Amino acid sequence: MRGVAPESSSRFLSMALASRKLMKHLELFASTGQMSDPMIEALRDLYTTMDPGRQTSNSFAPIPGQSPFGRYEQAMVINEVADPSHSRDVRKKLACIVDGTIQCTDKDEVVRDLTEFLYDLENRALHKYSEQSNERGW
Amino acid sequence: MDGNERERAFLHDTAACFRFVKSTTAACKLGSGFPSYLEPTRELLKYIKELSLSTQDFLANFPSQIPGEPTQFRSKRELLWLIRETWTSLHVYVKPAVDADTLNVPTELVRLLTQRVHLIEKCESLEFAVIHTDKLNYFQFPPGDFEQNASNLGEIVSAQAKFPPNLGIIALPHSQVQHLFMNGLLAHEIGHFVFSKLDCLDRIKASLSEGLRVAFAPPSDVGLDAKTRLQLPEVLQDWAEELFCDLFGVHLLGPSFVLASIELFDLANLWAVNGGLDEKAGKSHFKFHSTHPARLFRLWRQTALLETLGWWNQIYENGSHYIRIMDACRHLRQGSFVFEEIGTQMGSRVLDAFHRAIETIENEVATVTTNLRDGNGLAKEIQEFSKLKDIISRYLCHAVVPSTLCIDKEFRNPSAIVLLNAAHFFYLSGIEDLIKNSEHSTIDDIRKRDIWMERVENWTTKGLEDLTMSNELGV
Repeated sequence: MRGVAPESSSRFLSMALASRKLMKHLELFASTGQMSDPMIEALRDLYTTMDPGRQTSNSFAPIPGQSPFGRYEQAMVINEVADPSHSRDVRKKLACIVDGTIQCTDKDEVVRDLTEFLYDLENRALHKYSEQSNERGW
Repeated sequence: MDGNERERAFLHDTAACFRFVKSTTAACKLGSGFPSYLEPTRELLKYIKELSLSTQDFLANFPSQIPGEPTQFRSKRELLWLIRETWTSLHVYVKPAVDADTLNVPTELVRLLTQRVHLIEKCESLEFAVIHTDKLNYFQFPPGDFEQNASNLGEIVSAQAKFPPNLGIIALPHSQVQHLFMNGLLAHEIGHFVFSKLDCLDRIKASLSEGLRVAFAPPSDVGLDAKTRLQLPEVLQDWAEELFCDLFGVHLLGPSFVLASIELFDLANLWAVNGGLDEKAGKSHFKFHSTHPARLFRLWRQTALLETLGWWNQIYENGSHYIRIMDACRHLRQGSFVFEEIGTQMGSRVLDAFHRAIETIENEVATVTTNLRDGNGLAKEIQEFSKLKDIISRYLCHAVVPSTLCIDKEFRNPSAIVLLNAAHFFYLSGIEDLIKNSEHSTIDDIRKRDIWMERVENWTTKGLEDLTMSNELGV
């Protein structure tokens, strides 16, 4: 009989940790070109979550599963951070790593922009986590 | 802020974080004497301690190369905050795990549950660290709450220790350790871990999506906004998992699990004077909530499963009012329940979607637990229960631990499941006979009842211990 409130807030902590871990993977990717399966999976999760069709479509969202990015509340934050009007165009950059079309010459820029996005995401997730963990007394 | 000031601030903050991490796990002391822990709990405490030491090592080297570039500085500084918040969340587990030594967990029940789980295919190596919670509820900490967060932190701080992949963490209320029968609800929490480990959702989610698609086929979807479309799949996912875990509990422990559910939710409150369900008293129990199915729905499905498995025929004549409640639940139908959080009409469509997926969920539980029934395992248990329940009751009624029974001048041990279930039914309907047999007190003396109820649980626990010892000695 799971506790609802703690689980809900801890999803934001999970998202913050997953963002930081992904930053670490991207750093490795930038320096060695090495791509691990967990990194690709996490990037793909993010890419799927940022599908603009999710917000406007007439169909239901997929069943979220265990992804730290997949739940409604987390997806909202991701989409807020990756504002589509933003010049970074995060989704396009995620796609070029996931589908392997990234060019060597673009690698540093893509990784830098994605790292900056993930930092923002971690930051927002930590703030959300702090706000929701309101049992602390003040 | 100039370079020196920035550096000093950074050094101070890192040291403060270091002290915080060090202190959170100071209580994790694993010596060889008292307190003693079940191996999975010891493993959990050891892992927490090692993760703490790795975090401290990481922080000890952290201040080297403090970046001057603002973005990199921010990112590096925020990692301290992330580490602190993660340890704030892990801190929640430390004391409850330290407190859960072998004298303060239902050791025999945990052993029985673990043995049962080991019969399940691909679950042969699962172990469970049972820790305390100060909430009057039973919890399974979802992977995201501990395993995933601890593992991610471990990767960030380059920890050597890996979270034991087959270790589930389950919490029970610290005050209820001695309440053997209600602790049967741990079976539900184990179900959450099995659900996650065996990726059961992967085989259920298509039916959930299909249920939503059919229930909200145009024009039924008029008025359904984008937010609700995004949230409903989560709601159905949560309901599906809860239902899975309830049914898993029934497969694992039999009727005793259902009786424990009735006690936890005090569903006996719904027993009307005419013997049916008092719908006024139980109004809220017909309601689904966004995180959990309605309590009576859960009891309905659990009872239906007891019927399917063949248990019902063996228990329905028991005089307990819990059986009357279960019997009344058997007459419930899909239309008995409501989900009002998004409006009654829309809610009924969501329930319709869920009901379309129930068969798939029930089949998934049945598939996962196949080995518990195979080789006539279940049929033998039910047959044994039928034969031994009255004998076990007689033993308890005469204050004898029913681990070795004398039947037709031969001694035999009941199986642990049969002992647990028979004793649970005696606990519900035989206490008065025990009191009459044991002393000159009246059956309406609540304090005396409390004592005898506790004794029945203690004798049953002792019986389970005896059976474990017999098995270990090969007797």
